[in-house]
Order: sequence, then C-alpha cells, then structure tokens
Amino acid sequence: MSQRLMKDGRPVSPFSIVTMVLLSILWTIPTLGLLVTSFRTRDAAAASGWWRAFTEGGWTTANYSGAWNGSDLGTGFINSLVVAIPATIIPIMFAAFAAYAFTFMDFRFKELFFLLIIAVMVVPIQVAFQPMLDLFGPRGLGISGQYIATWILHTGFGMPLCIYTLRNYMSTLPRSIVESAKIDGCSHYQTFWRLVAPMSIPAMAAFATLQFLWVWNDLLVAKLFLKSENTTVIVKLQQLLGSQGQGAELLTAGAFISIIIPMLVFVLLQRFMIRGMTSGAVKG
Amino acid sequence: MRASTFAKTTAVVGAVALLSTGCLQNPNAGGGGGGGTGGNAYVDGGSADGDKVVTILGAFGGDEEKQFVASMAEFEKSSGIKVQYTSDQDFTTTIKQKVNAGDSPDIALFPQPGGLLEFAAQKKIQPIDTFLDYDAIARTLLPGLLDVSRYQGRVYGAPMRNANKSLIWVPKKAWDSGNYGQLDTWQNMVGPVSAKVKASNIAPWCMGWGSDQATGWVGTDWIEELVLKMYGPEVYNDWIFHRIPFNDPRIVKAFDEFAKVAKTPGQVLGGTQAITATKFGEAMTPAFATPPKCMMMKQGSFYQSFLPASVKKDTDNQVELFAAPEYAGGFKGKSVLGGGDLAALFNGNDPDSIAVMKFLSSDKFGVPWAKAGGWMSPHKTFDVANYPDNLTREVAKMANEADAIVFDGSDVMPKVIGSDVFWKQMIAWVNGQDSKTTADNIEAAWPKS
Repeated sequence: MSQRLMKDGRPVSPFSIVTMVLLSILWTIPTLGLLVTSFRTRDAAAASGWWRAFTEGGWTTANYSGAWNGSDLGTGFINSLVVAIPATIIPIMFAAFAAYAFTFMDFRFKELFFLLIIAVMVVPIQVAFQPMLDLFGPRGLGISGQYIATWILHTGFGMPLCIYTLRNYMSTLPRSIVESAKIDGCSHYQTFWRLVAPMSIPAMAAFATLQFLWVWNDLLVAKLFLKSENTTVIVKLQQLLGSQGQGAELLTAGAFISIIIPMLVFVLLQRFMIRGMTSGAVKG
Repeated sequence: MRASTFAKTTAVVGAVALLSTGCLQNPNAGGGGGGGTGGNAYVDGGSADGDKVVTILGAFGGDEEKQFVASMAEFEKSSGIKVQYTSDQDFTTTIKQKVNAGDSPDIALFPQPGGLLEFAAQKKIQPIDTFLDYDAIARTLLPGLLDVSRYQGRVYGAPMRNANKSLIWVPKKAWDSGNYGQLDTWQNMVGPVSAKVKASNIAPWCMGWGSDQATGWVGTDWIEELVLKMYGPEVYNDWIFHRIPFNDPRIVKAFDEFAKVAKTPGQVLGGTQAITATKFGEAMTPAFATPPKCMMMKQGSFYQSFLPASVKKDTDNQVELFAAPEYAGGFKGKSVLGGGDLAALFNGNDPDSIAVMKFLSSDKFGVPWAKAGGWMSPHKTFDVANYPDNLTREVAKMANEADAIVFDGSDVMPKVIGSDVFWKQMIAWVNGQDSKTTADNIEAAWPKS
C-alpha cells in the first residue's frame, strides 16, 4: 500500500491535485476581486486595489441598493426570464427533431444539408443585425420591440450548434434499439418521443445550460430588438451609466445580482453538463 | 453697362436680404421652401403619429435618466403626452442601426453633433426651423450652439444641455493657503504658478486620460482649448471643420504648448507615464488628500459628479473653479470650449413629437434636473437660482459672459477622427511621439471627400 488509489482504481497523482487547485484559484481571483469591489465605495475602490480592502476598509452595501433601485432590476429579471426560457426551449426542440432526422433517417442531400447548417455557425451574430432589424422593423414584419423577435433570433443563432451536438450524441445511441423499434412497427414520431428523446436528455440538458447562459448574458440582441419597458436585466445594468460613465461602481454590484439565476441554473443542471459535454466525443 | 449695374443692384439687394436674416441666421425666415433639404417637406420616421406617445433615445442612463424623466413629468401631465425614454451607452451605433432599419425613435438626443450631421445629410432629420420659433430660441440660446448642427445652411439640432469644458479645478483650502498666484494668463498658469506649486512638494497638475476604449479624449480637450485660446474662435472653427489642415503649423504649436504641461517632468502627478493609466473620473481624487498630491486639473463641468463623496457634500467650500485663462498674445476676450446634447426630430409630422421638441428646446425645460445638479441649460435666460450650488452658478455665468463659445471639436470632426484617430494619436503623443508626426498622422487619416 505505497500508493493510494482513487475510486476507479487509478493511482492518486499529487501533481495534478496541486495543479488543479492552483488553476481554480487563479481562475477565481478576478471574480473574487469583482465581488470585493462591489462592496466598496467608489472612492475607496479608486484609492486602493481590492486586495487592500481587508486592511483599509471602505465597505458599503450602497452599491447593491443603488443598482437594485437605480434601474428597476426586478422587472428586468422577469423580462429576462420571459426572454431566456422560450429562447432555450424552442431551439432545443427544433434541433432535436433535426438531429433525429440527420441521424436515423435517410434522405437525399442529407450530408450537404448538414454541412450547410454547420457552415452557418461561422456567421457572427453582429453582421446579421442590420438585415434582421430591417426584416423585423416597421418596414418588414413589425415585430421589433416584442419578445418574439428575440426568441426567433436566439433560436436561429443557437440551433446550428445545438443540431451539431445533438446529432453527435444521438449517433452514439445504439442503432439496434431504433431498428428494433422500427421492426416492431413504431413510426418515427413514436421512436423519437419514446426512445431517442428520453435517451438524449443529458445532451439536451447540457446544451440547455449553455443556451440559457448565453441568452441571459446577451446584451446586443436585447438592446436592439426590445423596448425599454420589456428589456432584460443585462440591458438595465448598462442603463445604470450616465453620459460620462457615472455610476460605474453600481455595475459590479449589478453584475452579482444578475448572475444569481444563471448560477442556480448551472448548479441544478451541472451534473448533466459533464456527461453532455463529452457526448459523442469518442464516436467516429 | 446696364447689365453690370443690374448685376450690382441684385448683388446689393441680395446682400441686404442676407444681412437682415443673417443676424439671426434663420435660413427659412420667409416660411418659403427652397432650403437645402427641400423646404417644408416632412421626414416621417419614428413611431405612429398623433398617438400621444413619443419615443426618445439618448445616451445617458442612471441618475441622469431619472432627472430627465422627472423634468418631463410636468409637461407630460399638462399635455397628456407620454414620453418613453430609452438610454443606450452605445448610442452612436444604435441610432444608426435603428434609423437604417426604419425603426427610428421620434426624437434622439445626440451627445455629439457629428452623427447628427450624417443623418441631416441623409434627410432623416427635420430641420428645426420648420417647427420651432427659430429666432426666439436663437435669441435666448448661448451663441454658437446652433451653428454646430448646421448642414447646407439649415439647422437640425435643438440644444437641450450645455457643458463648459474651459475650467480649471483646484482644491479650495489648499489653494487658498498656498498663495500660488493668479491664473491670469495661460503662460503664468503653466509657468510660475506651476513652479510655485511644485516648490511646495505638490505636483502642479492632476491628469487622467483613462476612459477604456475612449482613452485619449481628455488630451483632445486640451489641444482644443489651446487652439481656441491661442488663435481664437475663427481659426478654431476652420480647424474643426477642416478648412485648414489638421497639421497646420499653428496646430502643431498648440501641441508643443501642451507638452509644457503633459510632457515636462515634474508637472503631472505620477509623471507622464501615469497619464493614460489614471482614469479621468479619478484624476482629481489625490488633490483632496492631506497634504494634497496634486493641485490643478482641467476638466469639464460634468466632473462635479466624479468628485469624492466627502467633497461632493460640500463643494462650495472644498472646490474652487477658474475659467481657463487667456493666452497672452492669443485671442483677447473670454472664450469657452463648450459642448452639449442636441435634440433631433425624426418624426416630422407628429404633433406630439413637435410639442415635446418645443418644450425640450425652451428655457422652461430642466428645472428639476438643474436643481438635482449635473445639468446646465443652454439658454442665457434660464434662472441660475435653480442650480444647486455656487459652483454650478459660476460655471453658468462664465458661459453667459463669454465673448466666444465654440463646440468641442472632437465631437464635430468626422467620427473616424474625433472618436478614434485623434484619441489614439494623443496616446501615442503622450507616450513620446513628437507633435509634428502626431498632427501629420491625424491629417493623413482624415476622410477624403
């Protein structure tokens, strides 16, 4: 018994433990600094770095009350949820259908279509803003400023990656199950809902976490496609600033208020995250 | 012979006509059309007409947004019009995208006239003379504020906020006890007075340019101030509208003059290399330490909101303001480098939006905002008793008594210069690039038209 073993029988490596602890600390330091700064007055934060807060003081909770009252963050939270929940569910639903078709159905130009979908992932969302504003604006569909505009945009820009991950995951599912279902007379509809969808839950949950975080933290889409009454918490945060950036000290506090919900989502779904991330990684 | 006499007569009549309207410069005085952008035709952007809702897009949020909304409250009550204000830190880009998509707000509040002029050229904005009493507001406004949004003879922006950038800030107690002398000329300020401050082991100048991606704009204000003080408003306007090249020898001399402050050892707290690393909003904080670490700072009137909390409570006893002094041998008289927000109307045939514009551009607008601080009216007739402290009243008085007011040049220059190259070249300059190269680089980047 010279070496301790881990649960799965591999030897414990002190080197990797030290490295991982160091890396985690290194990665957390900026966030920690932000957290400390969010509890300091503007003058204190300007006079000394956050690591000196413990000896020099200057503590306050005024930033938090200022951020909360300054920009009506409560309404912003509700608006953010109204934007983020459908903008997470809709793309995953459609992408799961598409991924099923790309994995288990045979049709002409299948590979070409798949390639096309993957190819549009390289289009950055920023270049699409002007044409989309045109299309959704008063000269086009006239839905700019309503929630549906953001749902459509987030769906459109989230789907290619979602189709890609889900297809990769589904192709790791045992094909024999789907084939035997076919022999037993299942339609594609039944196969999808009874077999493939339940088996793909880890991948879907993993992608849902990513998509939710991305939509929640989005600034540009919400800013351009929503009005000030129905805009998200991130846009409200940005609106805390005056013309020369007055009120910047409120932003640090606002940032921590706004990450409460994404943190909850991440904590609740993180066990799927690990399994989903590696999904399809070993399948050739 | 007859023909030439006739030509002379018409020329004289024309000149007289020009003069009679020229004093107030209303290009649409007769009410007739034929102006630069097609007489009285209306631009029809914005939201629905006559729906008692007016949408406004602006650049300021936070406290300023609250005060703006408070300033509109009484008007909304009496007129029954609902004002929906949206703020956007990235106003310049957002307004462009919205307007191009046909989704413009009814009214936009431009922090920089440069973007406004671009829309004027695209005929997206209603000239103000078609719906405001131009002559009346021209009489009460500070001089020069209307000319900055003039495109092909017609004015497109109604000033709704004024800023004064020609200010030297000092910590009052330390300044009074130090006996450093009078800020009567620029040369005295940067010479003997600075030397005396330095002799008492205090850095003469507090200077911070740090402003994230906009770092450098504080430096552009210094250059503008010097061009104005050294050569007067005419050369200044020639320079910002590019009627003389950016690298004119006189401008290069202004850079050299500024080097006496920014690039001379011992003049600036922390030395030249600290200038870009110090945030502009925190530049003066060391001046209120005991003993003060630096003494003078040149910054706009808005800096009041950046003062440390302990100073802000008691500004009249803690802070002293001086007008940036005349340059001996330069422009004679009081000159002010100003700035401000301009309201522009995108929805030219909506009576509600016009009513809001009339209120915004009047000297009645802004009383609650003025009382809360951080805002000054562009009208000479605005009651200075509304301002919360003597400091603000003093700044307003300086603008009212000025012989010449010019607009912040980097806000007027094309966006690629005024909001990019000029800033970056100032950073290069302060980091060691010489004045001539700096001015040459900016001139080379000026868009060819």
